[in-house]
Amino acid sequence: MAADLMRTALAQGVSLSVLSDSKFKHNRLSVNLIVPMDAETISANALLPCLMRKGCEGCEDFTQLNRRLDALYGASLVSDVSKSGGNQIVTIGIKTLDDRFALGGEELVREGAELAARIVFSPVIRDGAFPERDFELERQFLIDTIEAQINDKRTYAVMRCRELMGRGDPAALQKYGTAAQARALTAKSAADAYRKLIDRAAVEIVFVGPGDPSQASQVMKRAFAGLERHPGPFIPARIVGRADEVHEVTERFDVAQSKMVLGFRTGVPVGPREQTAMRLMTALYGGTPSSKLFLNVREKLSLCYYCAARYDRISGILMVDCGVEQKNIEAAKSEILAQLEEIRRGNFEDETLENTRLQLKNSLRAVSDTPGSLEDWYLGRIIEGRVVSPEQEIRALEAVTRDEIIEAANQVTLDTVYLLTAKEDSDVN
Amino acid sequence: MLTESVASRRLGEGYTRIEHPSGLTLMLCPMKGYSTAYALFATRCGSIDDSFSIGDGEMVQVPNGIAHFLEHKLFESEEGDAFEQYAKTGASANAYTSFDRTAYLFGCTDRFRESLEILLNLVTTPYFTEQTVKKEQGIIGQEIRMYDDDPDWRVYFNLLGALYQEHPIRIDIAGTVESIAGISADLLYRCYNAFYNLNNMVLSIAGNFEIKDVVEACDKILKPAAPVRVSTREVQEPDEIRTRRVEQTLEVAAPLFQIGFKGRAKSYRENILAQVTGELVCDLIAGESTALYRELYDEGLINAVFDTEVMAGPNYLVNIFSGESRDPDAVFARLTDGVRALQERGISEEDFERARRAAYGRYVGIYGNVESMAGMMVLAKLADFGAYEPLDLLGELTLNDAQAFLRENFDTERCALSVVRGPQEA
Repeated sequence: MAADLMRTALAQGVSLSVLSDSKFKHNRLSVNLIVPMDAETISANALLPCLMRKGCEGCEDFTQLNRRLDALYGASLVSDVSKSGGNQIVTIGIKTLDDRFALGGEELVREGAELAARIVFSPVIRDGAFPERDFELERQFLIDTIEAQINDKRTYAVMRCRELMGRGDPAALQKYGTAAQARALTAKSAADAYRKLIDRAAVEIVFVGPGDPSQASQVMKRAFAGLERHPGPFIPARIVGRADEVHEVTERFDVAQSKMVLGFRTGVPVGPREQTAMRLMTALYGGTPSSKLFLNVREKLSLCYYCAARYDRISGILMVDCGVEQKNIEAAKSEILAQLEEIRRGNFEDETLENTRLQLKNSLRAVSDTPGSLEDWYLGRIIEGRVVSPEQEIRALEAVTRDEIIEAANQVTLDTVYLLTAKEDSDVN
Repeated sequence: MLTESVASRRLGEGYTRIEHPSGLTLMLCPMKGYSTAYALFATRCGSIDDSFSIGDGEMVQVPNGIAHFLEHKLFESEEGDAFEQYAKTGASANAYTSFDRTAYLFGCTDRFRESLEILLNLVTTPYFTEQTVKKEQGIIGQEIRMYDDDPDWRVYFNLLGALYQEHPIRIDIAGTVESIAGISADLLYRCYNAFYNLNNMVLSIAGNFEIKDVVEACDKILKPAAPVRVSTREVQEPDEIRTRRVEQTLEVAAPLFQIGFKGRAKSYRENILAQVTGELVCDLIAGESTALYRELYDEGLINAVFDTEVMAGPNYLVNIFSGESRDPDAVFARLTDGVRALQERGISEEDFERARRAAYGRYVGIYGNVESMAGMMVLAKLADFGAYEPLDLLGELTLNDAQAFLRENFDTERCALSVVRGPQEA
């Protein structure tokens, strides 16, 4: 079992969270630079992890940096961008073999932390700009990634629905920004964005593993010492409690199968107990192979290729997404809503409820089995401002009653219907 | 009951191997501190096993895709789909068929014993009728057609088809719509009786469980089986490749490529262990730390999705370099030049040592994860090696071993390029 989370402040706006766990064979250290989602800076910040991963002081180019990682027993470097609520997160992380397995007795926690600190604080920037060639390649890769999002229609449709439901809230924008913004960047403006990020970011450092966290903490403390920075607070997503009317949006592409996403509001900002009930309700509705949507919309009526529900407690949005033939769109929509009505009326078996609860508990317990899932779990909750362990969440899940599930279903109101469908208007009459 | 403890000196831990009276081999690794138990029940029956004989009987030819078909059919019983049974225990379950094996699996954090009994019953109670076989032909037919449109899948099988002339590895794991039409309930039973004899199978479990529970469940459910000797066809694969270049048009944003080097295959065991050395050599040729990678990247010929992989099994060993490129032919030319240059100048001691350490660190990770540990033990039993042997091999690997692998398994006359590109560019 993982020990409890230990949090300490290393400097102003810099916190270290430690999860010591002797069962792992690697240590994972991540430095998360967190700033508000801002339409102006999203693309620049999304590009930074790719550029920072290209080299740093002491390992001046990509090849040298990778050779250093090899020498640290195949340490893997994580450089990524993500978002949580109204915050954009630039992550530089390193996973190193635990010291006790090092063939030559090296201090890998310390050496890994030192390398991570150099990547964060000393990327290769000359004359106020990233190296032109690296910049060009990585910017193009970012543009390609943004433009390729449309290739995966299922994910794209969900993303569009979320964006539409945000009504301009930056929290609803997507984490890479837009291709147009990426094109407007220069090697110099990216370096400016880097300096701004270091200056403004709230920093959450997470250490998970069997090793000695003080080795990592000393390195990080030194790295931040004496820096005059101006970090801001975390920004929550704007939650809209109820939908006043249903917004219908249709976009047409060259596709054979249509994708429909139903976006729901789940009530005014609620406490943890209601969130857990909503989570269980969503799983019962469309989160497992024995859920209402799976068994009825997909299996029994064969209206959809897939039909699933998900709940995001941070935005208070519940979404149902499905892949559907054009002629079945209306039938699928009314059946999806009819199944929600079933839960509202309490028409679900106790056995199905218990099986669903069991599956959720199963996945919560599994969180502690990999360093990556532990890190994701705690970082998300730290940013949200309410740290609970997976065990606490399991206990909350056990306490949810049938009535609370019915109550949760009654809080749900349909806000947006997003349809991604074929270009030719061949509606079936 | 023959019980053997296998320990790793390097890691200071071990697993238990038990020959259960039913004939089944149990590979059991309780891992302290983990919440999940992960179980795999597997047999040495994969898509490449297209003909077999039992004892001294004659060779029976079976349709391509039968191993995968059998997996689908075993996953349901008279009482219905296995997912429904596992839903009651909260376990997440699945099954897969690869070139050399079929495995049925579940992961759970609670009610392990019940889930294990479901697994054991599922695999040991075949139930096929002509009617259910017919229905499955429709379902798998759709799955095959879906894969026919999958660019990543096609670029891979097109490569294998270019490298291999006779080996059934060149055929899609699910078979073809035509080949599965030839599958009947009778053929499924014959296949089942040959490959699902407990003496030829393995139950591998890692993580949060107790050995006692496993042995009890096996005692309760498994009926002792008389050992059978199953022989599969000895593949006569020529040294030469079929063709050096293959291209297909499908809906993709950027062209995909895979470059493969057909290695010198030896025994199943030797091929699987050689994979460890092979991965290291691939890294030395075009891994992220090499000058070649850097050149290709900086010239915009490859991007961050570029990857290397070694695939090994009975009678096959392939080294693969894959990625996206606007000019796959240029990548192919540069890569083969790079291989020849490295063969001529030899791997440096410094590069070798760095790559060895990197590989060593990654392999240690395998033993710290319940899923990968269970998978490693399955392979160890099927291909007949100790589950810690790959790590020990890396601990002792020499520069000469790597040089020998590079000479033997990277013949630039025995390599091919497979490309999938979008219609607008063709």
